[in-house]
Amino acid sequence: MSASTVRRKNLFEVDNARNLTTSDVVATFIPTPSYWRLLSSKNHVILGARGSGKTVLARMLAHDHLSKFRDPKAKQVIESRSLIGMYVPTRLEWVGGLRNKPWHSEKEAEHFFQWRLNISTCAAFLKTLRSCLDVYIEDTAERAKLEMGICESIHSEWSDQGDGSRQTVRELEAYLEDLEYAKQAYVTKQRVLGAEGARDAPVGVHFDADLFVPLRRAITWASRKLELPTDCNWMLCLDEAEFLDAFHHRILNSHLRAFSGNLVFKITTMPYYHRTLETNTGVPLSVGHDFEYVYIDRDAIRASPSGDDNGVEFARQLVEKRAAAYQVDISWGTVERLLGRSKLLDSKASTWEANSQMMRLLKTYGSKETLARANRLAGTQEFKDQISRKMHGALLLRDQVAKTKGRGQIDLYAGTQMAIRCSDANPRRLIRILNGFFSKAQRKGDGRSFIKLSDARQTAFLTEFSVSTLSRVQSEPVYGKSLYEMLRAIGEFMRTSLHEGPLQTDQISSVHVDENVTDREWETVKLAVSLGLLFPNVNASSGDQMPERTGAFHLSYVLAPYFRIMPRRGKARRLSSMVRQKRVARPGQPVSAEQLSIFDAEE
Amino acid sequence: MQLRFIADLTIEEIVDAKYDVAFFASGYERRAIHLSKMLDKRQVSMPIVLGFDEFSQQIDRKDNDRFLREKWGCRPIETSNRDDAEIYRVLREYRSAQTPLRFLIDYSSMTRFWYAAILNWVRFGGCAEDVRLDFVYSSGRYADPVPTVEIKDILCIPGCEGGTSSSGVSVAVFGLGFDSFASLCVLDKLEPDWVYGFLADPALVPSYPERCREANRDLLIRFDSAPLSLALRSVSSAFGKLAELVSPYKGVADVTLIPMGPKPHVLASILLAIRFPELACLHVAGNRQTVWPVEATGEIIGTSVHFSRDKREIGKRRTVA
Repeated sequence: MSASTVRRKNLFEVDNARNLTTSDVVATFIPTPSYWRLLSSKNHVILGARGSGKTVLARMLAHDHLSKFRDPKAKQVIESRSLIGMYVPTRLEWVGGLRNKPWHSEKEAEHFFQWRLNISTCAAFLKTLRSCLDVYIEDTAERAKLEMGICESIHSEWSDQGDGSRQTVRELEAYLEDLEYAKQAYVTKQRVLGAEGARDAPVGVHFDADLFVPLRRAITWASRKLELPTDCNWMLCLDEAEFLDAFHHRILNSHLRAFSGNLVFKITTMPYYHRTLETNTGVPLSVGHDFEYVYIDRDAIRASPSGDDNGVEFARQLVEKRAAAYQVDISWGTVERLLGRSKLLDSKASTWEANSQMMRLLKTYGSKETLARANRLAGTQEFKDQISRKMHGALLLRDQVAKTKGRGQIDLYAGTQMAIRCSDANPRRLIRILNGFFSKAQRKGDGRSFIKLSDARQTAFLTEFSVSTLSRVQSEPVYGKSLYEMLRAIGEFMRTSLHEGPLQTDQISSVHVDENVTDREWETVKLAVSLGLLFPNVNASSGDQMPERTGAFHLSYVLAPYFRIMPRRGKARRLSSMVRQKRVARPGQPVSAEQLSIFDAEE
Repeated sequence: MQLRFIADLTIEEIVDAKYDVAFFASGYERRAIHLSKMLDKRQVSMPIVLGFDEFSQQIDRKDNDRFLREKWGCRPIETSNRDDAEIYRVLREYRSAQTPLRFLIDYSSMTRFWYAAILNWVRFGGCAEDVRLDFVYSSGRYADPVPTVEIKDILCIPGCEGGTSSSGVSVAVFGLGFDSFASLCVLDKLEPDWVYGFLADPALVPSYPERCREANRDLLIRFDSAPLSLALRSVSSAFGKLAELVSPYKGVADVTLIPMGPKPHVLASILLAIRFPELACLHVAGNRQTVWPVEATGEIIGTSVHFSRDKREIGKRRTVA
């Protein structure tokens, strides 16, 4: 079996990049400005919530992917041999094999980490070497000869033998795999017998060298024999560094800090999970000097030409690229017809005359100030900008929920715009949502087009998706339960504000974290950001560094159907006041958001 | 030493046997002493009682400590649930010219790190030519609903780290329990290409399989096929079926077992990862805020595991490992 045999039930079944074949990743890749920024010889730490596309970026930097990417810039990099990328995943189970040895001293733990990372980076190098041979050496016989020469040289660096017994990339890969098993068995045996008891010869001593030394030796041999230009830089793309501990990051940072010759680093991790700036040299990393952060959670939105379409253009490209890659007869039009328009989010012709339904709703639910402003602005363009556009969805939602008993069925979380909005510009979330919809879709009699999914079914699905997203955070390590409680408090506050007090033009959709935040609350906020459940309110000019202990964060829109709130930007309230309301609220006795707002500073 | 076979044991075989060493664990679960009550002191040459260093003042724990001390004449060796050092210390001191050795392990209330340590000692410790380990599990009654677990850590069980194949393809096999959120959380982190699962069916209580399926509804959607039904009462059969499930992927994918369900299936998973070292077996450790004094139902599940240096397979009812 190979990666290419991974089958799919439908277009959107595979929702994470690690599981796509090389050609699938390349064919479905949507380059963003962040990607082109990463394709350089600088050190970068890529920050993105789970599912934001970090792995795609890291894989697309690797030579075996980049060389297949039909883009002039990519082609230029490959042809000039100026950058050669290697992809190294640090999987959970890989890290689980590091952390299950609590008896290791810090030094032993560092040593073992370095040993295993040396093996992993060398394995990644071999994959890249194969790609380089395929791309740069056309003649089959010459390629085989060169592969043999390079592999023999590398094998002599990586072992005591150097006897020519490993002459192909595959043989060297097998050698590394075997070494890793042998090393784990050796470490376990040492533990069982005690240090004095283990008389076996140490395993893989050549990888006990300093971190990246075996890799550098291999690079040297390959560069020499492939006659790569002297200014060629090798990019080590280390994926999923969030699973590593702070001391692992400190070791990696030391290499970002030091002069690394022709080796540059691209490290992906979740926001706030670049765990330290410390290095082993005593001098911490300097952001902007030693490396740059690249925050990608807003990439799908930034990718659109206008920059303010909430990710519609990105979603369209994603669907069409996937459809083309998998040769499926689905277009963006198919999605739009399946889901239809969104009553809450799509702009529509104004129906705000004196006795219209919207004006009746405004009179029923609007605050005195809002009504007064609406009367003052009636008939002007400002009315559209300040009243109708902002209140249209909120009034419809408020009214339908008010007329629905308990948690009864509503149908307003529907439409293409809503599906995209609830994905929070997170590609994996979008794919899962589309997957859910298409798995419920029925074809018309012609066998090709789909019957539109009813708004009620769409709402039911998005609500279920919302509940599932919220519920599962309870199990997240360390602060999972705190996060669950915090998100519920925030969501309930927003729900109360929308549904129980007089409506104002701006709804509350963000939390403001200030200097009074407790350590536990801050750790919980960080976890929320890392999971894509809170997003820092950054814009293009805010840069890529995450706010520290202060700032505004908006609640992810995926949670909107559960709390029955609007998935759109509004104003912020202090986190502390939301959590306080949660504490004092009793069933049947909600605390009035309006009362609390008297004491809150609005953003 | 190599794992040679796995067989199911009856309670009659256990109470009739003689053991060179027996391990018991004292904790807050009432079932921790269920098996000890059924055994005769003369059956065991060297009893070893391990005690968790957490919740040690809890009332049921004190009762268990007292009972085990009176029954076996030894105090619990207190240690952390992640620490195997005390087990290795005791075993390194153990000397016996006898072969085969026969050990009893009451793993009803034992952390998997402890019984994995005993297994690793047999694998690597160079103790005897043949060792037979009789694992015994006293089934228990759990709270309903089971409280949601907040994950504390996700670790490989020592000795079950697996390896990294160059294919880059990954397979996850989940053992299902009653809490699906932790499994979903792990699944989101593992991001495997293929997802399979198994659950106890038939289980100790007829309604448990359905309860398990319902609890894991969101997880089952992500599976590549329906979960395997594995008998809870037969570790040897569970082992065999799991081996069949993973065999197409051996050597061509990174296979990770994540047993979140009942302990006999955890044991089957660990044994599978020992038999096929390319498989990894994960332990998802939870943060426990409260304790539940799990009562024994009275049912015993016994499993005999045989290791030897030579390739002779012995025993009449065996699952070839």
